[in-house]
Formats: sequence, structure tokens, C-alpha cells
Amino acid sequence: MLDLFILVICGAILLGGILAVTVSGTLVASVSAGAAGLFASLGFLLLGAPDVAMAEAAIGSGLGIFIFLYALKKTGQSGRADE
Amino acid sequence: MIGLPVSTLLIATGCGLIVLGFAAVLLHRNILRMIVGFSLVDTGVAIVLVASGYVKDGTAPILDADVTPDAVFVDPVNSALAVTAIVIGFSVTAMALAYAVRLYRLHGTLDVGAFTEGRG
Amino acid sequence: MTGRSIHVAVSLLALAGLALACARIVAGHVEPVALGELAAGYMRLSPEELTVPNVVTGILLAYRSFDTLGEVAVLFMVAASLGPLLQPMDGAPAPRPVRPMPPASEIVESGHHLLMPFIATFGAYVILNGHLSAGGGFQGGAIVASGVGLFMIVRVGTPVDTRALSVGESMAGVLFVAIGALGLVLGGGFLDPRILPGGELGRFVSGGTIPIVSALLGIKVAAELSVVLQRFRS
Repeated sequence: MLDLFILVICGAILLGGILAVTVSGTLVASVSAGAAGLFASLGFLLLGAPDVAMAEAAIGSGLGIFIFLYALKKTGQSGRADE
Repeated sequence: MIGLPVSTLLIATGCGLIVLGFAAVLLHRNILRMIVGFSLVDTGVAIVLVASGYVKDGTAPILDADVTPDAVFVDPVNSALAVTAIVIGFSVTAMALAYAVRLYRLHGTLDVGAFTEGRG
Repeated sequence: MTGRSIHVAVSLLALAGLALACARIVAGHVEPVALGELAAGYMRLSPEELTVPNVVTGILLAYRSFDTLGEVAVLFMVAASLGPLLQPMDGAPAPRPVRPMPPASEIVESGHHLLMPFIATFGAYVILNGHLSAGGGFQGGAIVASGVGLFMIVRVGTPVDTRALSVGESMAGVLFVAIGALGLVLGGGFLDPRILPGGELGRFVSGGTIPIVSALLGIKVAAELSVVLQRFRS
């Protein structure tokens, strides 16, 4: 059961990474990178590092997406494909 | 299920994320997409760092009433380094995004080609 | 071959090399069954010497606290340099007018009122219990800063006072360094937490100066991250 959970988490992290690289809109890409970070924080929890999991969930994926969204707004890219 | 231990699986995942991130950095022309790639590399490095400190059947390095001091713990040094790495990664991303915004204001585009070609 | 396709080919080659190196790392990895000497030492010393049950916090705030000080210095420099970097430039072509943000919806507005006290309380809890359970100054500071981010989304027009935040952040930084210097004078080195009595393991008031340093670090990180968010917003 736990094995399956770990495999699902690894798959979700890699899926988020692949989406962040291949998808055409910048908005979707940055949110996918944040999702990969969020699943990574679950992985940290399984690895016995709750401190790192908290930091990754709050800083890496939370505030990270936040500043990406403001930068997207400042550069006039509303997430439509390849501007 | 499969015979691989947890830490090996997560090291493989982290390495995959690092390769994916560098792929984004090398193959995209949009600066913001490159920065997304760098943040992926960041996450991947943190995963590899923590996973390489995992000890078989280890628990979190926090002692309380339920945990005896002779239990098996995960390496706390790797966790401490990973916390530092995540915070510094956020600062680097913020810096990179600020420069991207500034370049956009100067050139009106985010394409890397516009900053190197045609300078004369 | 055009320049672009050469670029792609070389990039793919480099990525293949990186993937090969990573594959070797994964293939050579053996899950250890016991801690290394350094980690085992920290696991033994942190509860004994510092009376800090959370060894990660013990390492971050006592054994390697100089690293932590350098790290918040990096964060401070980033927060300070974002201001000039993101200022509108004169002489550059005018940026495309950005649509003003619409006001927040009813749901976000009420959710903000409902959640804000809980976010602030949870942030303070995580900061102050860093020596007992998972958490500490960095994590709690980030939670408080995400609360500030929620505030920024709801109150679209209200700027966050970065000058007041900078004052609070600098005071916390000065106190942090002062406690560190006290440790140098009275204890065994910079930021030695044992200048206050250690107390009993697992109690809230224990671990010498570590809860105080953790609180200062939390204030500093929360203020710096809020300044970063506000710079990107303005």
C-alpha cells in the first residue's frame, strides 16, 4: 500500500515536471512546476523530513507561484500560448 | 511491489526533475520558461539531497515522548541543508524574475534571441 | 543546418550526458542502514547539550547558525535590490498598459476574513514551537508571508508599507546578531544558545536562546518575504 503511494507521488512529481516543460502557456507551466513542488513536499514527508516538507510547501510552491503570477502580469503574458 | 527502496525511487525522481529542468532551460526561448526550468532544478536538487540522507526505516529526527533515543533516525544534516537550499532557491527565482521583468521593459519581448542577436 | 537546429542538437547531447550521470548516481545508490558519524553526533548532542528535541532546528540555529545568518542576509539583499530593479525606468519604451486588477470576489473577501486569524496564529505557533516539533523560523515566516499574500490579493489597491516592514526586519536582525555576540562573549561561540539555562527537554521554555532566536528569525523572514511580494505587486 505504502509502496503504491510512493510510486503515485513519484509519478505525480515527474508529471508536473513534464507538463512544466512541454505545455505551451507560461501560466500553466509555472503552476505545473508549483504542483510538482507540492507533491515533492509529500515525498519529503515520506522521507522523514517534515521540516523540509513545510518549507517546500510554503516557500517553494506557495510563494513561488505567487511571484511568478505577478511577473506574468508585469510582462503582459496572460498565459495564452506563445506570445 | 517493486524491490527498490524508497530513497532510490525518490533520488531517481529528483534526478528526472533536474534533467527536465535543464531541458526547459536549454530548449525554451522564453526567459520565463527558463526560470520555471530553474525552479524545477531547485526542487529536484532538494529531493535528491533529502533522499540521500534517508536511513532504512528511519523516522524524523525529532525526539518526543513516543520516540526512544535509540530509534533509527533520518540524517538531520541533509534536512537542514535542504531547508536552506529551498529558501535560497526562492531568492534566486525572485531575482531572476525581476531581471526578466526589467529586460521585458527594455526590449518589449521575453525572447532570448532578441537580447543577443542584432546588437550590431 | 541552421543555428537553431545546431543549438537543439548540442542541448540534447548535453542533456543525454546529464541523464547518464544521474542514472549512474541512481544505480550506485545504496540505502544506508545507520547514520554517519557527524549525524549520529548531532542526534546525541542536540538533546543533551542544547535540550532541543528537534535536531534539525538545533543544527539550523545552533551548530550551523552562522549559515542561517548568511542566508537571511542573502534574503535581505534580494528584498533590498528588488526595489530599484522593478522600478519603472525612464528612457525605456513605455510598458504595455497592464489591465488593472479587478476587485476580489465575495468568496475571496469572506474567506480572507475567516482565514486570516488562523493563518497568523498557525504561523506564530510554527515559529515558536520550532525547537519542539517540525517547523521553525523559516517555515513559520513563510506561512505568515503567505497570509500577507492573501491580504494583497483581497485588498487590491492597498499597498503594504515596506518601510515599516524594513524597520521591523532590521531590528530583528540587530537583535539576532546581538544574541550571537553575547554567545561569543558568555558562551562557547557565536550564537551559542547555552547562555540561558537549558531547562527540561520537551518543555516550551527550554533550549536556551533558541526560541528567542527562532522568533527573531521568523520576524525577519516574514518581513523579507512580504517585502519581496510587495515589490512584485507594485
